[in-house]
Amino acid sequence: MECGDCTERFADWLDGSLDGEQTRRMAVHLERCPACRLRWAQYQGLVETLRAPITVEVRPGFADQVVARVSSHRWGEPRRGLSALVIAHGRLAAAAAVIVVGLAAGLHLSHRPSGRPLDRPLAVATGTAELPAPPPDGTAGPVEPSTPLDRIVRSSSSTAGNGRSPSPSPETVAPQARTAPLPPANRDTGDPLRHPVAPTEVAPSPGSVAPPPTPSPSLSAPDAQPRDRSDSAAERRRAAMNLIGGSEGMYTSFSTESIESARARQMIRENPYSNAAPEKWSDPSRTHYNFEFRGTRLSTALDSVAKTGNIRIITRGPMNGNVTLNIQNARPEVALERIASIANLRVSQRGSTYVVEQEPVRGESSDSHATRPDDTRPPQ
Amino acid sequence: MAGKDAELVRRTLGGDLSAFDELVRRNERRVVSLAYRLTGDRDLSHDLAQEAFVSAYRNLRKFRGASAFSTWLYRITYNVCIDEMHRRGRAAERSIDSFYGGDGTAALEIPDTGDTPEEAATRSERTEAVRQAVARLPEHYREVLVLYDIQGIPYEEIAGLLGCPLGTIKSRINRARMALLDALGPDVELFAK
Repeated sequence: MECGDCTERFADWLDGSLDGEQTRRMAVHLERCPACRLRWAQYQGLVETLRAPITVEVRPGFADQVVARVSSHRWGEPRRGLSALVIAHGRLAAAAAVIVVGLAAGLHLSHRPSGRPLDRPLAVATGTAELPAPPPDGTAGPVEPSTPLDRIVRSSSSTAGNGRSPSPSPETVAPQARTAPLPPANRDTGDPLRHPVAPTEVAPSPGSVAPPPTPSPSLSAPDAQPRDRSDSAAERRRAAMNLIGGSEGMYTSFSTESIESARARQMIRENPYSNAAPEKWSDPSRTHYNFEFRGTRLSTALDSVAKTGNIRIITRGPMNGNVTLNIQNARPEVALERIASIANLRVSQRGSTYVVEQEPVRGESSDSHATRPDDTRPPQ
Repeated sequence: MAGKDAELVRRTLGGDLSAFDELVRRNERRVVSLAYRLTGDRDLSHDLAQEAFVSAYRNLRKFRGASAFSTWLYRITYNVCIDEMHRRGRAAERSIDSFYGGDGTAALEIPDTGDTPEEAATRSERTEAVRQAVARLPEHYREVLVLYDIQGIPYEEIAGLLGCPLGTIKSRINRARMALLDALGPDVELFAK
């Protein structure tokens, strides 16, 4: 037996699948050939290492995160299309969109259940416009029970049914809003075994960034001002929200001058491989979300969020006071859900702003900065 | 085992998310571990494992049952990880943090084999050397090693998965191991018993 013949049979020798004659010849060769004997020893050690049962402890909540991500997926449903929405609504602008999620915590100097004092009181961001309306049939969107997600959804749902003109949820959107397919956002129509989904290249919004819209008064401020009843702004908002997740169960609010960015965000949402390469994260033309936080405690919560998911914090302001985070390729609802689950925070809604605040300790009332769901009902 | 997964797949396709939740829980450890074996990064392995599950869900209608669901899932995981490593352009570097969670507890579960500290250190060195060398292998060698030796998928399933004759798979595995020994370079000395 030559050395080449011997090494070719290492796998069979290891598996014990050689016949009697081959086994004898292998044994004779290995006895006489120190090079093959060494190679055989290395081969066995290598296979032992390859097969070593090393496992990684899976983080708690991993399965929940996966299920949360896929829960809105529906096989075979045509995607909502930009052109379809233009046809359906007919009032969409084409300027650049800015998604701003204003988050504020109404912390007060009461104690958390753990007994630690809270941070100093924080200002509450005021909302900008009317709430997203309930679906036409009055049913709330899907609610996952007994999770922070449920708290968020309930908080939003409790503000629904306020008599505004209906806006469809993702599950009840009119068929005409879904007929025009988006350009292929990914390659998941191919064989996942051979062609895993590639990241979607999100084109930067054309033109310059439009100035932020004139903020509409908040419903939650103690001296609530009249709401902005602009049909155009509301239509654009509903259209954009439908693109990126609909009204019910939607955690982000935004003001937008066009739905280009919203469409891009839907592409990101649909594409699981949306993590851009690190060198693209600093590109300001890329779609990203701005979170404004106030207070160090929420910043600490975000540290945990950043470590646990597909959320990358690429810029950060000072840890005290306002903390501005640019988060790339993260769906805001995912971030908010994790925040709510990590830090016992409650997400409610004021106007079009989602407010993240500390849950009050039983028996203690929140100060004027905190918001209960019923605070978001329009003044009578 | 495979029958249970097949039933869960069927129910998932019927709209039962709880079935998919169970599929995830049944496979999460092996998927995350596979991702870790390929990337060496605990955090990244969770991210990529999540992407693999999401991709599996979205493409679940394409799963024809020719192999076990877990095999199909591991294949997706493999592709996800390899794509990520290609994007990064380098093998992930192990950091001490990848072995330990934030609270200092061990993130890896390495079976207690009664190793002495020196033996445990050698085992760790071998693992890391193999991981880096696997990343340098040609694709057709790397995939069979990951599927067969790391994931323990039988020859027959791999042959079906890759569309190759059984004999081809067996010989390819052997050549892959030999190529891996070469790819180890001087680290091959860690492996002589």
